[in-house]
Amino acid sequence: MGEKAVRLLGEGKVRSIDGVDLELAVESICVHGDAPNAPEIAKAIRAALAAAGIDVAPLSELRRTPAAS
Amino acid sequence: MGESFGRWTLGDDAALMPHLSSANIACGYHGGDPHVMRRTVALALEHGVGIGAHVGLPDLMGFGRRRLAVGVEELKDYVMYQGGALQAFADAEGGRLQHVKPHGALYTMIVDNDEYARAVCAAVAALGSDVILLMPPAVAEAAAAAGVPFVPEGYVDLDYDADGKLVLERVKQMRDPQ
Repeated sequence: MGEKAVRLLGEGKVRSIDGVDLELAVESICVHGDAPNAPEIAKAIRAALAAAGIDVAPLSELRRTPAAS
Repeated sequence: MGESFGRWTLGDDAALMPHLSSANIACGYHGGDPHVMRRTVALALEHGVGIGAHVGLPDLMGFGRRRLAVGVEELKDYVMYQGGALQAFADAEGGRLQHVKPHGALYTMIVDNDEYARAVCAAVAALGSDVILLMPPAVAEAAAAAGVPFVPEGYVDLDYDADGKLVLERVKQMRDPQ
C-alpha cells in the first residue's frame, strides 16, 4: 500500500479493480481506522512517502483557496 | 477515528493517531458519541494532528455505509449539525476545526449527485470561511463555486472501479500494508 500511495501522490495514478490505470490528482491519502491493521498501514504509507521524498504537510498548506469574490 | 460509542470500541485510535497528519473524527451519526468526540479531539491535539469532522448518515447500525434517501436540505443540516458539534469540542479543547470529510455512503452520494455536493459545500461554508472540504477531485468544482477551501484526496486501502468510483466495503477488509 506504501507503493500505491507513492504512485498516487507522485504520478497521480492508481490501478483500478479492472486493471486500468486511472488519473487522479490528489494531495491527501485517506486511511480507514476500522481496518484491523490500520496503524501498520498508516505507518507503512508514511515510511514509503518519506523514502520517496514526498513531504507530509497540514491540509492548510495544501488547500486550494478560491479567488476572493 | 472516534468511531467507538458507549461501551463499544472500534479501531485502535491511540495506535493510529501518531501516524496521521489529519484525523476525520466521527460526530455521532455513523459512529462516535459526545464523550468519544471530546477524547478523540484531545488525542489529535496531543499529536499535533489536524481536526476534521467525519460527517455521516444517521445510521449507527449500518455504520453509515448504507445509502439513505435524504433530502438536499436535510443533508445540509446533517453536515452543519455534526460539523458544529465537533467544532465546539475542538474549540473547547483549545484547537480548531480544520476540515470536514464526509463518511461512507454519504461520501459516494455527494460524488454522484451535484445537488448533494452543493448542499455539503453550503454547510461547510457556514461553519467558517477557513474550514476545508476534503473530498475526491470530482467535488473540486462545487467547492470552488461555493468559495470553500478544498483539498482533493484519494484512497489506497479501497479499490476504485473503472469509472474512478470507490468500491465501498460494508466491513473493512484486511490488506497488506506494503
